[in-house]
Amino acid sequence: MKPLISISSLSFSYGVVPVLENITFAINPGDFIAIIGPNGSGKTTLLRILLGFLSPTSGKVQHAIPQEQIGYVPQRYTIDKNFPGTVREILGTEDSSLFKRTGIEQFVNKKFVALSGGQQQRVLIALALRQKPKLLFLDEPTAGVDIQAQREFYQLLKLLNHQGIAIVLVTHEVGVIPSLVKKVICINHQLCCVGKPSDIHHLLEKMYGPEFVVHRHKHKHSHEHQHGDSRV
Amino acid sequence: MVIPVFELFTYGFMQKALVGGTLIALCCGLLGPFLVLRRLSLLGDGLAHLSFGGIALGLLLGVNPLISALITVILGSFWVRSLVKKNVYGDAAIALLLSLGVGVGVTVIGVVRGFNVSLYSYLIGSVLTLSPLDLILSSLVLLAIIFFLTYFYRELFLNTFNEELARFSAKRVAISDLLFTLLTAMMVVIAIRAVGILLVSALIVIPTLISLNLAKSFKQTLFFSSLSAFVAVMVGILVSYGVDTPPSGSIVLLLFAGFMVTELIKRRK
Repeated sequence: MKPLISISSLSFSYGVVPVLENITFAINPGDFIAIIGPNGSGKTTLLRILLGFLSPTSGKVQHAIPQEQIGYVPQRYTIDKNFPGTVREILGTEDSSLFKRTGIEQFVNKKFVALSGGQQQRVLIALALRQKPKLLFLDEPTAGVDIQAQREFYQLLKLLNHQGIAIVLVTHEVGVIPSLVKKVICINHQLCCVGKPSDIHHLLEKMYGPEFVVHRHKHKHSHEHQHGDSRV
Repeated sequence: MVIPVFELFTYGFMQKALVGGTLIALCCGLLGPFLVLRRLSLLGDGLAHLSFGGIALGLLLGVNPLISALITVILGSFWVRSLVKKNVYGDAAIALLLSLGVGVGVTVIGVVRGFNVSLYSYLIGSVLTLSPLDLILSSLVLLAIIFFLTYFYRELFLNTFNEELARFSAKRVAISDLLFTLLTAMMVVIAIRAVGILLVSALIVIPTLISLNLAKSFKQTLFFSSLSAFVAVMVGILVSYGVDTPPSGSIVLLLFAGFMVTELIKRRK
């Protein structure tokens, strides 16, 4: 099976500051990958290189599919909160099957900025799906989205993956990963580990150290108790 | 003596002012929302000030000032784009442009005395003295903008929504961005004739702010922006003629009043 994207010995630095060093992995058809790592670990930089917004300082990124077959869902915070466009205008289509597939048919005539976080993410997914992608990149898609909307959103991603779209998710939300993705890639400037989601605790321990995992678990339980959230 | 309004429309200069004013208002009303929503509100101001240098050079070299301004502003707009791509802050690049234009203009005035009156008319605008060439240029720019919006609307819209996303969801983003820059430069030069260098950004920015307070969609934003610019220019011309003041001042004050009214309407909703 030929990879959709192959990344080999990729390094990137801002001036003299190294951000990514010697990263190698592949994205295959049907993959559902979560890229995780602490803040400032280079996750977003890696995503921007994979999307072609940045060029690696060294190493190779080989795309086996054209850019038209790659969908991108940016963080919704990057959208201007005064943008006056409606969902229908943003999508630029009357394709009711697309509206239904992404569960947005009830609010296509509303302004994008008037929607909840979860609804906005669905619209951004619908926009990416317009071009019938084989690979979908999502950058922190559920940041600031409530738990119920997060669950529904992840179910939508699961469905899209079952329909044959490879998905790469950059996220902080490790709580949902075991039930969702097929592969987890942990980075902290370097590739710390790649594994199955069932290994998630092991991977986190490897990435952050055992103390961190114990501490974060304590924190997670108290945080869930207070807010029902599960962020790392 | 009060001249009946209908009699005003029989004067050739007034007909030219109303036709030219309409063309210029529609140009600004159609492109303004894209500039404001892309955080480029001050680009119009920077380009207008740069045109001051271009106009002064035109007068100095005996070239039609509108042509010299157009060349200067087009070059300036592409320069700003390249500076921003090289990670110079957008507002700093505009400030650089603005300073250069005023610096050149003031130096030329200092070297060659006697241009002051001509330059003053460009500073505050004079829609009542539009020439046939101004009308032709304004018509061409408006036609170009309509053509551009017809064929590149999707690219421009998505680029305004999210620049990075546009690269994935639209194919001709780079060429649409290039044409947008070119048309912005042309729009600024023709708008200078109506409201002058000092107030040109008002005709670009305030109609958009008014429309953002009223519109329920992006297309409505373009409609209300064009409508408010058109009404302000028409009423501004008539009022300024009646009270004998420069039209640019009346146009901008009317736009400001329109903005305040729509702010109140928005807050009451």
